[in-house]
Amino acid sequence: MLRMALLFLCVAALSLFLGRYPTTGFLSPAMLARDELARTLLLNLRLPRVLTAILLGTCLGSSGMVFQMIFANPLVEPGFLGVSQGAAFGAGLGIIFLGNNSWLVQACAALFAFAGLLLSYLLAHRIRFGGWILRLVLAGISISALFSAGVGILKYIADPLGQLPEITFWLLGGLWSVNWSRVLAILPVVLAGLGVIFGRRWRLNLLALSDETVHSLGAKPGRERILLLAAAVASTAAVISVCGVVGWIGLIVPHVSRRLFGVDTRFSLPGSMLIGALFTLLCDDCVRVAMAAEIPLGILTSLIGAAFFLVLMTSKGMKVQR
Amino acid sequence: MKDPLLAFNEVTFGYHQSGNRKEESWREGIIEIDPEQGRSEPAVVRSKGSRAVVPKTGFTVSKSPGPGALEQTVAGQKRSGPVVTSVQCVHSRESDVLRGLSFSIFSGSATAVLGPNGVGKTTLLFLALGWLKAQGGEVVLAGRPVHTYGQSERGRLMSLVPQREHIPFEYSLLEYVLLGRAPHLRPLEMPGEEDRRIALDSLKRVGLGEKPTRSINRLSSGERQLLLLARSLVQRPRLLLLDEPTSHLDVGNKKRIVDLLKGMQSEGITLLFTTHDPQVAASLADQLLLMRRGVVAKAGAPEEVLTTDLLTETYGVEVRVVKVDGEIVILWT
Repeated sequence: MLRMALLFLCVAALSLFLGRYPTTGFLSPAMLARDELARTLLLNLRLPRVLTAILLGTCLGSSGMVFQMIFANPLVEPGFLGVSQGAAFGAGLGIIFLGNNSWLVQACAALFAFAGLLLSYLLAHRIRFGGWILRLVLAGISISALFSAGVGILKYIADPLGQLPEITFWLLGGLWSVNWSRVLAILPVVLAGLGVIFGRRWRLNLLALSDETVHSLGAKPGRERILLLAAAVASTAAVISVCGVVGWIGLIVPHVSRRLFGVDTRFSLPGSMLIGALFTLLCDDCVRVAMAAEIPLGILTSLIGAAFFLVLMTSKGMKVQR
Repeated sequence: MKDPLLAFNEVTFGYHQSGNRKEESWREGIIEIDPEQGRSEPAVVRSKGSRAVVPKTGFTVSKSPGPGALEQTVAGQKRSGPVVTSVQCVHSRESDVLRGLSFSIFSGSATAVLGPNGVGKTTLLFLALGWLKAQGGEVVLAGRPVHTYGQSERGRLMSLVPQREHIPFEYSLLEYVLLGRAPHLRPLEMPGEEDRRIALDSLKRVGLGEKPTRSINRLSSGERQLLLLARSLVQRPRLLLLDEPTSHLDVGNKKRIVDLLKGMQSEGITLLFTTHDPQVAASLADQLLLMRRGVVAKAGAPEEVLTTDLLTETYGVEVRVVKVDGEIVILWT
């Protein structure tokens, strides 16, 4: 864990000096001392961007772990309860009807991310069969499908020259639009959510067990699950509202963490946060350094994530009970 | 006489999909009628719609019977009859699992709950645990209704060994057993050295002390049952609830579990367990509850409950109870 943390710190520090100014590659400290523009660039563009990449990875990694534990299923991720699709729909609405004001788009995305969760939750209450988890999963899938149909309609009616590319870019996710004011706007929610999850990291273990066992262990299964889900969704919605939909991190990272640090969430949750942050940072470094026309972050995380996932699932040591 | 550790008082419970219980009428009950005016023994009545006919009198009891005169309507004329002196009325539905279940268990005892499949044995445990709430009557734990306990306070008083536990991730034995310390820790607290020592002790106690860091997926079903027991032990409970602790186990593992439970009982842990195995019940329990149709059909010592007639009637098949070297054995033909 300590080695992972050190590696993460090194990568985070190096990321600040990586980029395409003045030339592609590394910005030397000597250059930084001389060049006023380089300093401004580092403090006002790269620093918030690196910080957001860290927050994004930490949120998605920890939320993924929370979702997988609470649903006792290693194949779920934060976008599970209509959150991602809700956010996408909200952003689409903002882009088309609210004049593409970046603050409004963000607010709209966060609002609909929560609406997705709320609708899934209410629908789960009204489904008349199955246990709580099955109902929540079914509700989440249907609400996601509804929102994704909505996104389809929005794309169909969007202006193909101005709005459609905007929506598409947002759906692919990326960190190019990050600045200090945006980071500071989401920081309180993200830190609060992460704080709740991190504080309860050992108790998260309990929530993967059956309801009556959790109850017999002196916990309230419903209430504790809702608290952690709300923390995970709030922080995820906040980062999604800035970064767009960045896929696969929430699904893959918890698996890697369990491989490295064991199943006990006391260790695998901080592990998941670290690995998430590290993976996102590295992917973001790649997308902004590799090509002059930046490719969206979501594409790279999905590409690497999916490839990695396939290897992980087919490798011998992988055991999924169910 | 000392107070019971756990008492069920006229508990009713049903898994109803919907519906407001307050609108439910009473189903059955026992009324006592003033002997001078009517019957000398209590009458058992069953409601039909909003009324019930008192056997052999022709008088009816209204929807919510209370002490008062019974009524009879003959040819349009209302007529008052004998006086009801006391009423024990059970509000239940046909679909209720438990219908006015009452029993008590005392500290340090071992109680077995026997009965056919679907009679409500597991439901009884869940009610005792406070996981389900009685819809009528009351479950009392150490002098207080069970649902008035705080979560962790209750978790330190009693623990549940479920029949089976699905553990979705591959924990080590120690990590899993440590989860039993949850009621002793504050919400943000992590288990410490002392908790670890207790967990290791309890693993040793059930015979899984070797290599506590191995994966739970390597355990046989018998060892898994022992692991569940170990997790419950680290809760340090006063009352241990076990749901069929010996089902799916071979003779050796059955004996091991029974011996372990006997040891715990001798240390003062009160046991309440359900079982389908009269042998296990007879060798471990000092009180047996035989359940039938949602009530306790017979409670008492093993010799009183495990009789040829009672078991034949309860299970609906011919069985014979014999004694071999002082031990009760059940034969079926």
